[in-house]
Amino acid sequence: MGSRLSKDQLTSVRDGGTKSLFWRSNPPSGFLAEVDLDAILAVEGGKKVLQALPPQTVLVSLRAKGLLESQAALAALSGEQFTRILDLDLWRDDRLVPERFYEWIEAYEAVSQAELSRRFIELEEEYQLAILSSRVKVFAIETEEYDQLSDQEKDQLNPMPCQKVWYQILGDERDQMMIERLFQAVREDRLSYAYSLLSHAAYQIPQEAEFLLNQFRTARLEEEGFVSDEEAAQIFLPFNLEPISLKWIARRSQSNKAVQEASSEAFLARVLNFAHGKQLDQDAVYQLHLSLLQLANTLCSASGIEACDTKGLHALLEQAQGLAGLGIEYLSGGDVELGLSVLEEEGAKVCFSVGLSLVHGLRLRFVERLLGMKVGEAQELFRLYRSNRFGALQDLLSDQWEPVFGRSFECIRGLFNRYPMCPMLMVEEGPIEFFPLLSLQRLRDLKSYLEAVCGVVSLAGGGGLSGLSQKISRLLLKLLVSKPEDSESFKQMIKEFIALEPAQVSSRIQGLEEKVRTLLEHKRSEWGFSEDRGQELEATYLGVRFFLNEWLVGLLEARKHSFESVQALVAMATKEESE
Amino acid sequence: MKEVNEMSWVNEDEILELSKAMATKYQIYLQGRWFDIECAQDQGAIYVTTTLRNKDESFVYPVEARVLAQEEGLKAREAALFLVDYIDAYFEDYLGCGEELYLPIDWQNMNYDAVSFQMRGQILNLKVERMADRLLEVVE
Repeated sequence: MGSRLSKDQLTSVRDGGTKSLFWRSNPPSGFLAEVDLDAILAVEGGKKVLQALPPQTVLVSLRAKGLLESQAALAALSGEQFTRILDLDLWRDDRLVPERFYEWIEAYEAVSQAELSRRFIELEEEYQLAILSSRVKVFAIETEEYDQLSDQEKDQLNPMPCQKVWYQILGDERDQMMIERLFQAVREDRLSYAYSLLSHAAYQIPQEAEFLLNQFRTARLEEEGFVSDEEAAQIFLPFNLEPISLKWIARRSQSNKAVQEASSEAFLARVLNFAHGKQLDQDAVYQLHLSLLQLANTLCSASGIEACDTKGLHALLEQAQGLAGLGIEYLSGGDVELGLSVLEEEGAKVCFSVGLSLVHGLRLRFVERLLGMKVGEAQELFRLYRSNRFGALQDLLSDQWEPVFGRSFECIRGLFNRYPMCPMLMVEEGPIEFFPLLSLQRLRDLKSYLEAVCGVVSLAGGGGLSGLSQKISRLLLKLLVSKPEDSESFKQMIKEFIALEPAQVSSRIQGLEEKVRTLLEHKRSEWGFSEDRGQELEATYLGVRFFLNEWLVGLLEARKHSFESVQALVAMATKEESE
Repeated sequence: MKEVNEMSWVNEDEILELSKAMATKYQIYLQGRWFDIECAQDQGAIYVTTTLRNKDESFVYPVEARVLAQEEGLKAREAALFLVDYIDAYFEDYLGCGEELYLPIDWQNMNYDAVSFQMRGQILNLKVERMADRLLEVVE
């Protein structure tokens, strides 16, 4: 067993994007939400409805209620549906785990032995053989092989009704018990089939059936949206927004509706609520949810989530829905009715790409601004981003960027997560929680934070990450002793800072905000992402003030201790000065 | 008796790194909780306990595993890291399944990669247990 906690493994977890940041997903929704299968069966035509449900929905519902408690639903599944459910439930890392079939044996046995036999026999041949392969050994009496067995070994054999063919079930106690129960059901239902099954399973080339089966399974999973790594990677490539934006701008001007008020609420949820309220045709609603589920499935391989991992899929679905909603809100201009048309006409995958492209634009702008301020490390950040190496990118951020930026670093982490998220930064303590970018307002929040980071870098005079922290402390020190333009020595400034009375410190801190704002306004072209942002600038200034607070607290804390403590915080500055 | 974290074969720094790695890996599930890992050996048996706990100890979940290293053809260090890995695999399933996948409270035989070992685990509320002890002291 390789180390699951090695650096490479952790990088791979971070690469997936769903477990790299602290966030709480909402209860499962859409086709990954648990449904009451018994209630569906209770209505007229319920069996057909159940058989039309996606296998993931049925599996989640069966597992939530318990297989043994779901006998009516188990009996009602179509043969193909059952196969597709097993495609999800019995596999790990593309290998069949036959032991996972034992629960299904128990559950179908509880329905009836005949039902267990029928279900098993109706499975494709490769499934039957792959489950039994390497589990049975057959002996015919009066053969050399049989005669060579000791009495004790013969005692472990089970007879077929003819008493001429005996078989041994390999494995531990549970393997033997469960396979025998399955055999017994098949034997009683169709004896000739049981003989045939036994001989095929015993003489099957090991793993041959599993290998073939995996090919069939992969084809079936592709129909449900689970695509290869290469195909999944395509969806993360930048997307040309212009043609689709123009198309929907034209549609918006036709609808002539007032611009909707910005909201942090998930835009897609608003669109889906509208669809339900409009009493959209059931088939249309089904197709909408199915397209969202297929989108989540498509993201699986890029995120390192297996088809069987319904919890992981649920996290993916939420992220996918968030970004798709962002794309829909952008194209529809916040009009939910038009948003429904966008989703219906463009499909979930395109909407997701539009949402992701909006974030791509923000990523580019952020890197551009940092490079403009000579933060050379942004080059490597961008290189990893362009090569889709989100795990390595998060590692780089943790190693190089976190020590410099403190809490403000979290918004950079959120921006460069595979599924970009916005942190809730304005809390002083506790773990920082992230939220999916499920509305344009959330995207604006993230943008303000990032602008604030650039603002802080700009105030510090830019340059590489090394020494940036000291530059920020030096700036604050200058502002607190009220001599920002003065060429007075830092040693003198530190002495003055330490000599300040507490009341003076308080009033200087109060005056700091205005001074910072003035400095920021002078340098706006250096750090600002766009011109004329009106109200949104206030959020950016608030962010800068909040981020600077961390350095300010450091200075005030050092002031309590000694001259040297303060000097240590501005070490680079004093070093430069001495040079 | 068992020695705790005092073996040259898995030093304290490594154990701390492993605990941190688990905290990073499962950060979205932890909600203020953290992992402690302890390794020990006693008469050829290797013991690993990974405990998920919160600050006030109202949730303490020690997951224990043990293996007879020599019998399984493993060196002591290999055996300890094997058990750390296996417990990590369990926590992945446990946390990923909404914390509803439990281990037996008594030792249960397990087998992975042709290695036989045992595992057990039980969620404790030490905070309540301490309160109950204090109450009993008062009553007595």
